[in-house]
Formats: sequence, structure tokens, C-alpha cells
Amino acid sequence: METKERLMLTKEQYGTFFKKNYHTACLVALRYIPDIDRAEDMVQDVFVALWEKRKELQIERNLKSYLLSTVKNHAINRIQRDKTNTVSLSKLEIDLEESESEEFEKEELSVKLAEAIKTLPPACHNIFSLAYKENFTYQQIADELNLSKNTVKTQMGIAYRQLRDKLRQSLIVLMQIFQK
Amino acid sequence: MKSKSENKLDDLVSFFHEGEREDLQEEDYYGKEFKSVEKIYSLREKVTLLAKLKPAESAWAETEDRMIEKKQNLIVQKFLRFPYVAALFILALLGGALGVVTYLSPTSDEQVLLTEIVSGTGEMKQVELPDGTNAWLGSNSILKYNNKFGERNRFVKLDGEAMFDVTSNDKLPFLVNIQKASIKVHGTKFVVTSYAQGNKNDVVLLEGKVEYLRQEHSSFMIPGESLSDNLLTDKITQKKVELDSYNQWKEGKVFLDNNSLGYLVFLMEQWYGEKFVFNSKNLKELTFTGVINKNKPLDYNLNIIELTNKVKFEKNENEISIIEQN
Repeated sequence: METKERLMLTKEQYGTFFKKNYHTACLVALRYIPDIDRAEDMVQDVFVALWEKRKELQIERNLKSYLLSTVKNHAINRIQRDKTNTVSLSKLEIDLEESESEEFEKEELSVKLAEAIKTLPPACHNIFSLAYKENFTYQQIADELNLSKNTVKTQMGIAYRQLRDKLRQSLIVLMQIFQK
Repeated sequence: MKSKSENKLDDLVSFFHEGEREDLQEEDYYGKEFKSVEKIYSLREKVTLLAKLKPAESAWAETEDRMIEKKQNLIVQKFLRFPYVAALFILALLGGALGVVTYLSPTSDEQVLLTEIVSGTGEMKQVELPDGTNAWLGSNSILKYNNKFGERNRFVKLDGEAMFDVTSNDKLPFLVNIQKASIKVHGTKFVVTSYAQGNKNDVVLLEGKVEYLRQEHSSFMIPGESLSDNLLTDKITQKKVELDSYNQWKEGKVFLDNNSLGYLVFLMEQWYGEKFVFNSKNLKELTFTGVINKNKPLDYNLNIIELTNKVKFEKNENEISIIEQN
């Protein structure tokens, strides 16, 4: 009885859990479902279902990895049902090769990275965004912002250095996994 | 002076972004530094996707809403073990008992039904939403809301441009979801411009109060104020505007306040369905202030812009080129 009491989440706690993991879950769904609206819709469905099952769930592992695997399974089920959406097979094979512990690392790291990007100094952020998100070449950025190509190169170095330092802990863990 | 290791990192980064390898040595490809730059670079696609998602805050508001809906459905479900079959059965028995069937259908189909209103190129549409709110949809725009709108929520999703005259309702806040951000409304009149390809959100508040939500950022707006969010640089600016002008938005008048020609041309592409080409990149940065009426023919507006003596438009077969005037 006592343990059950302890496991019951309040709505407020669930809200905090939601806000912390929503974007990671969406990225997992987007691996399989290319449409952003549909992916977000599905992730919200999973959150609702999870909330309803909160009494029955015997979650030994943590709630987060349970959430992410549920999202993944739902997404795979959905594309299998929906034959108009074809997903390349190679994409699915890669997933099979990944072991469970590292399975959602990329998604989690991306969310951390997006957070870290926001903390870059404005000028640096501007240059970095154009290169990283908009795929501009250094020359195009230099033209666009009226800078020398060398300044762009230096600022890009500063951006990567700061991001690497912010993510050091997560990157080290990842690196160890990849070296195995 | 930069240290040797700092230079090395610059070179590694430019190897990934520019494919430049001349400054790298054989051993650089095996270092830890290489791996961390590679890792950050490899997440480009996912990080870009993240920027397109709703802020967690408004997604949670939507989900919380669905959690309440579900609870009510569960009560019905307990009553009828197989609601879908039961609904069909009742239909067969009672024939025209439509009221019952529509009441049960949300339980048999857990999907939320979306209503989509789409305006074509150069078109303007007026809709009255189920809660009495009036919306005027600008050119090439899409407005979506679900079947619980007005009852359980007042959420709309907008891609494009619209003016809203929102009825007040203290229990259900009106929320406009646009790319990367949301606007929370408390009984109000305002204009939103947020085209998915435009990389820019503009909000002008005419009456009442709204709150602009973007990730953890939130700003309140007062009547007569405009907010402009550049999605490429994440820069948000707020300033005072002439209100009279925006009240005529419905008549097709668009007010430019130091807007770049690049953006103006983008808007004209949406209104008239024509393709424009800039002969020189610098031209995009020219800024304009004034009134454009999108209900007038394209030539009329091009003429007005040409009168500024800055640019000329030349019509070719499939596109209009923009050239510098000397």
C-alpha cells in the first residue's frame, strides 16, 4: 500500500516531467513520422495514455526511458499501419543495432545542445545559427553580415568551444560508448 | 594572439562546415577534439527540428486539456465495454438517433478531429469560430482548430497571417500557436503574421492584452504596440505603432515600418502568387516604410515601390526581376 502511494504522481509533478521530456520525445517520434504536427500529436497522445495508466504501471526503470520507448513503439506501429508513408529500411536497421542504453542519447543530447546554443553571445549566435541551422557557407555568412571570412571562422571556433565545454559531461559519456 | 589549440579547433570546425582539410594533419582525425566537433555537427538536423516544435509550455496546456477530455470519455467507456460496436448497434436499432451517435463518436475514435481553414493566393477569408471569435485570414494562410474548440479549449494553430477579434472568456484562454511561439490572449483584437517560410513572427495589438510566449521567454503587449521576432537571430523587438493603420488591415492595407524589401517581396509572393528574383543581394536589405494595399493589382503596388527611385521591376516570362535603379 505504502509503495503505491509513493509512486502516484500528482498532476503538477507530471507537468514538470512533461515539460522536461516533451521535446526529446518529439525527436524520437520524428525519426519515424516526418510530419511535425502529427508527431507532436502522437507524443501528446502517449503522455495522456501514460497519465491514465499511472496507477497500474509497475515501472522498474525510470519513467523517462519508459516514455521514450513507448513513443518509439507507437511511432513504428503507426507507420506500419499507414502504408502511404514509406520509411527507408536503412533507417530502421540502424535503430536495431543500437543498444538500449544509448538508444535515445542523440535526442537527449540534441535538446541539451539546443539549450546551450541559446546561451551563446549574440554576435556569435547569429553566425553559428546561419552556418549550423541554415547551412550557409562561411563566405555567404561573411557577405550577409559584412564580415571577413576569417572572422566567421574564428567565431565558429568560439561557438563550438563554448558548446563543447557546456556539454562536456554528456559528450564524454557518448564518446566512451562509441569507442567500445 | 590565439593559442595553437584554439587554431586547431577553428580548423576542425571549418573541416566539417566547409570541407577544408589543408590545415589538418593525419593525427587530427583521431583526436578527442575531432570527435566532439563531429558529434555537435552531426546533430544539426535534430537541433533544427527542435526549433520547429511548440514550446513545452503550450504543448502541456494542450495535453492537460486532453487529459480532462479523456477522463470524461472513460466514464462512458466503463458503461459500454465496446463503445464503437455499441454505437453502431444503437444506430441500427434507433435509425435516426443521430444525437446519440455524435455523442458517442469521440469515444470510439480517440483521434481529435481537426478543422482546417485554408485561404488561397490573394484571397482573404472571414470565419466565425465556435466561441464567437472573428478571424480574418490573409493570403495563403492556414488556420486549424480541433472539435473541442470553444468547449474544452480555445487553441488555434496559424501558418500565415490573420487578424483576430477575440471574445472574452476567463475560463478558457485563447491561444494562437505559430511557428516556435504562442500568443496567449485575453479578449482582444490583434494581427499576426507568421508564414512557415518567412523566418519572422509579427504581432500587432489593437485592443486588450496578449502575451507572446517563445520558449521560456514571455512578453506582455499593450494596445498600440507591435512585436517582431526574428527567428534566425532570436531577436525580439517591441515598439509603438500607428493604430489607425492596423484597424484597416481587413480592407487589405498593410503597413510597413522599416521592413526589408526581402520581406515585402516575400509577402507579395504570398498575395499574388508571382515569383520574384533579386538581381543583387544588397537589394534585399533596403527598408521601406509606408502603406501597401494588397487588394490592389500587383502592378499598382510595384509602381508605388518604383516611385521610391530605389528599385525597378522587370516582368519576364515566369518571374519578376528586381534591379537597382540608378
